[in-house]
Amino acid sequence: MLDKVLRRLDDAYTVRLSEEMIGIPSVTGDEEALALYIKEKLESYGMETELEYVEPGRPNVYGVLEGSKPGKRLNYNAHTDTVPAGDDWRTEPFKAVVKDGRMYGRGACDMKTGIACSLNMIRAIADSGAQYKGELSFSGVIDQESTDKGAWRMMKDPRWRSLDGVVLTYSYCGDETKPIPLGLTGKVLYDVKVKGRAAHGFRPHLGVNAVEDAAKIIANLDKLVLKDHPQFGKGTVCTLKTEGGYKVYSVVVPESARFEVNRLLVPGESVEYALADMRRLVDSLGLRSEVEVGVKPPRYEPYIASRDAPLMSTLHGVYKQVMGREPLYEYAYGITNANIFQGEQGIESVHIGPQRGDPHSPNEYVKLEWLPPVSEMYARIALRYLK
Amino acid sequence: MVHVSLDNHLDQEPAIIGTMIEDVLRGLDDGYTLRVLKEMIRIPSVVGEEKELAHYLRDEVDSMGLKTELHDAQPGRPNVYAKLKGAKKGKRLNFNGHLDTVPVVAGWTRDPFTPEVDGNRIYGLGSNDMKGGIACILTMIKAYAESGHGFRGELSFSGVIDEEALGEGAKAMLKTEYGKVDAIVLAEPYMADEKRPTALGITGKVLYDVHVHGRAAHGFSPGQGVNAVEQAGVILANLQKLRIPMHPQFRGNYCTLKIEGGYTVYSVVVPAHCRFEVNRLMVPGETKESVVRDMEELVESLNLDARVEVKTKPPYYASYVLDRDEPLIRVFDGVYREVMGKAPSYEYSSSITDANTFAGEGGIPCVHLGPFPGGPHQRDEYTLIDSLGPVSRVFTLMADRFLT
Repeated sequence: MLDKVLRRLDDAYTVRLSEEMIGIPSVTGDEEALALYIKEKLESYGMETELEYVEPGRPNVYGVLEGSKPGKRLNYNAHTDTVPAGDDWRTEPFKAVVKDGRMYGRGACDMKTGIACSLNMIRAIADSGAQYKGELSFSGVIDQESTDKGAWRMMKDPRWRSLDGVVLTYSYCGDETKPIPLGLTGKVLYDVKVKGRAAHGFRPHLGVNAVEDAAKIIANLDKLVLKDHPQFGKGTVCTLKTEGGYKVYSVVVPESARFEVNRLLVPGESVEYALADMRRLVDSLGLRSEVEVGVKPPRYEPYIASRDAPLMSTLHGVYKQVMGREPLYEYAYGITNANIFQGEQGIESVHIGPQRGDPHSPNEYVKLEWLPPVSEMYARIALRYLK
Repeated sequence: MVHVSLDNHLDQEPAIIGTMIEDVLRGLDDGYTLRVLKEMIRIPSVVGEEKELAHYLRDEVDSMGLKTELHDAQPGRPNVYAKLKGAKKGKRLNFNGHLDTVPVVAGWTRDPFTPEVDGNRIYGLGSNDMKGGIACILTMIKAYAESGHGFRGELSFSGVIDEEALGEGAKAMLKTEYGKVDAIVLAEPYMADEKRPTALGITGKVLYDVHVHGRAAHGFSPGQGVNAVEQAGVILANLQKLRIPMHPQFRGNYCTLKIEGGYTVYSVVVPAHCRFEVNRLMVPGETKESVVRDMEELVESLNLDARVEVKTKPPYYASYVLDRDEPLIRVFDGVYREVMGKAPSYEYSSSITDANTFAGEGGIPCVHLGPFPGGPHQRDEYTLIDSLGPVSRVFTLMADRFLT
């Protein structure tokens, strides 16, 4: 049965779908056309499909193919948006160009080829009539390159919250360029508002300088308590932005200032922990300003995965079989929708996809030699997990 | 007028008889003062739009028989100057006012450009700040011109633009021949009483404009970059280490006014640039260069990874202080007591005026005297009509006593 499915995998089909999808620009905010394209494909394979409008004009797309008996429920997930094209492309960013075994275009590795391999796999399984227990589904979510509204909305639905596993078809290829994550850091974006008191700038002692107090907090961020995780080590802290003071020139003690700090969290540090940590730091400084410590989206919980968990061990075995070597793993400093699926919701998630070439940069590409093994791994994972 | 030499006293200066200072004083016309003040209120001269008022003053002073000059201090914005030369060489005394007013703020209950007399008050934008003072100067000059009363040296008038913004008018004046006068009386609305003492010195100020340059990297691996916002934070958190020299009468200080740095569109990137501005109130003896050096030394002591450029931004004002026995102050003190019947009140001030430029940068002794400052926060601004006459008298006697 597996052989029937594998024979039905069509590499030329994958390449064609990749070209077509790169030719449908889907920069964050404009995902609809691509979602409609995917929906049409999934329907043609016999899946029950649905568009879920997260915002006007911005739908998630889902497809479901029931197995012959009840069993586990596995989802292949992708984000439909790309970053903007930017400048300095040698070819047109929204027209796939194949040269020297590489396909160039915005989304070539991040992540329209992951989608194409999934579609290839689903068609092969559907057409071959392969039997499995449980449910095979696909989800294409919006907004991953911004604040993940798509994945958050997906997890609001009890139907998706109860999935057993998610394969994120992102370009994590399991070699030294991008090992498979055995967990991801989380992240919180501190949003700190400092409120002082205005006075004439020539008599600063009569006021409370919000900009200077904000600076004192920023200068003491090294006093946040970063927990040391045995595998991840410590998280990181990075101020991203600050502003405060006059809009039109005026010699006045600034009465308000703001800053944002990105903090990567390691397992054992929750968003609540991070908030309490910053509040404690601020209190310890004894500032005269009033300080409000909040968070701004996006926020993500960290998680750590187990090599022995069902989906991860399936991936391991399949990877060895298809690639002829064991995958490399790491405890990764990065954020994907797995932070939402597994970190928040506890659904076992793995990442596997083609090797990446310059994502987010001009002249993004994918090496086409990766597409066939990735399609095969997707098929083998599905059939083994849903046995 | 008749000039007569008395040859029998060779060691005495030839005196001009027939005209005495009393004649000049009698020539002070309070009705004229009020008339020109009203005319000036009717000519809007919000900072930036001084030209029409400058032309009015040229015409008015020309009609007194002086020759005025207009010089653009900025394109389309002229300063106005006029002088009255005495018979002999001597000191040069200038009476100065700024032509510009602040903009019309919210809250006026009457038309700011229609002069309205209500009892002892005259309302209008600029009535005390400072068309009232200019009117007193004109009154005095007119009385001198018409009386022919001699003095030694030169009596001049200057009307400058931009005092309410960056002081460009005063800076331009320093580059003319009037940049070499021996003293300047500014007709700003300081009555030299307890409520508004007149300044014996004023703090200066420099606006630091500090640029911090780091290195971008992905925000998840900040160690690979240099965070310009965090490095700026270190500087600001250590500003109390900034060297602020001691001075017997003044205290310098610093005050951060503004900061900005980091992404414009959300992106998890280590900020490569950050900029902040700090107001530094300066005391006499400090210079823009010394103050910049202080900040550079502070930055150096912090051993930052970022590259920091300490620049400054306008406005910049130098600081100055005068002794009580500075000749101009002695003359002012004596005349004030005579006219007002009481001693003047002095202070060491932090209110910036064009004297910061004239005295601080130009080294020219300055004193401020003007009519009553009425009207809270510049709404429904007014001055007291009966405060104008005494100011004209003080000006007149000061010119006489200083230019001997």
